[in-house]
Amino acid sequence: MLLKRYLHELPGFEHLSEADVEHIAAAMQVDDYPDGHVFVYQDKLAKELFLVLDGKVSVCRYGRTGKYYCIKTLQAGDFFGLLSLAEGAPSEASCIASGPVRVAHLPFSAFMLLYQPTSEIGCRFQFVIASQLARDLHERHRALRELLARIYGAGQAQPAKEG
Amino acid sequence: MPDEAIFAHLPELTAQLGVEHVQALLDRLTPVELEPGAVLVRDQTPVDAFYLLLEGSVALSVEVNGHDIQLGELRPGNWVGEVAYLSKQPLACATVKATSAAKLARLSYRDFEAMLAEDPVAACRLMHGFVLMLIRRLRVTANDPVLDPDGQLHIQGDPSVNWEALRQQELNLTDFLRRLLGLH
Repeated sequence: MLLKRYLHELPGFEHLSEADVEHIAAAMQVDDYPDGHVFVYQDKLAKELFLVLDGKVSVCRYGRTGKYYCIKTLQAGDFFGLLSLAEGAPSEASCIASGPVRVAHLPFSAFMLLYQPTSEIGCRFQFVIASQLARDLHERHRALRELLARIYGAGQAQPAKEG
Repeated sequence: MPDEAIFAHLPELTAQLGVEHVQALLDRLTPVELEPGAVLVRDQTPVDAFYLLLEGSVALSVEVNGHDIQLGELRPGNWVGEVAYLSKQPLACATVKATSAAKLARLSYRDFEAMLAEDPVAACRLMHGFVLMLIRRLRVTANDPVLDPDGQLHIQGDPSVNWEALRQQELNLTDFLRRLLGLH
């Protein structure tokens, strides 16, 4: 698979130039990982930005009560490690290979250059970051709606009552 | 946008977009006023604009079958409407309801696209602001909902970005590297 061509198809990359995508692809390394490989540990800093190219990655965490549960499954085209890298703060969840996976990773130093909106490429890369974060938040809100449906009973979704 | 409410946020917008780019945004904003309790956007209904909160406060919630989880209140300087646009979903991902009299500035998705074509740097830098807000909201919504004594489910934490505090703790690369290497 040509990484550059793959990146072109991802949300947010339409705002980057051909040269931008070439630079990013050149900075990324692609590797295969076995089932169970842990890319990011909960409560630890992510050290790279990861992109799933093939296979699945589970996002799981220990809740406040100590219960371990998986929040979602990442698929080809999903970035992860973003929140921890961007904030320089520990990750909220672990990211673990669910079966054999192929993942591209961008080193911390390259990510930091792309995260700064003051450079030209960094400015355009904000669309890639924002697109992934928006999809993540959209997914989180969907999970919260599912929780509501489980608590109060499923049925056709209706707006909440006023007041 | 002929509304003085925007002037209180000019320094913040200018710092974010750059003095030469802020006009591209201001030209496209239109004012919106909400009475306390008025709903700006309803969860899972069509949305076609970003809104910048200028005065007052709005509450965010997700809803199903007449029940909701409260996600917290936004303070002035924060935007809503960015998730639907960026995730390419036509429906709002939360209800936005005024908890006090509120003034907002509306930027339609169509006008944002025009700004992107005319002044891509302004659009990119605005996008960085959205990134910071999305990070904040993801951090807060990662918490499990709790039930308060009134039987209302809500998520604890403040989903607002405090732009002033953020400016004061500009990303310190050295500190970050030290943490990354485990040197405290």
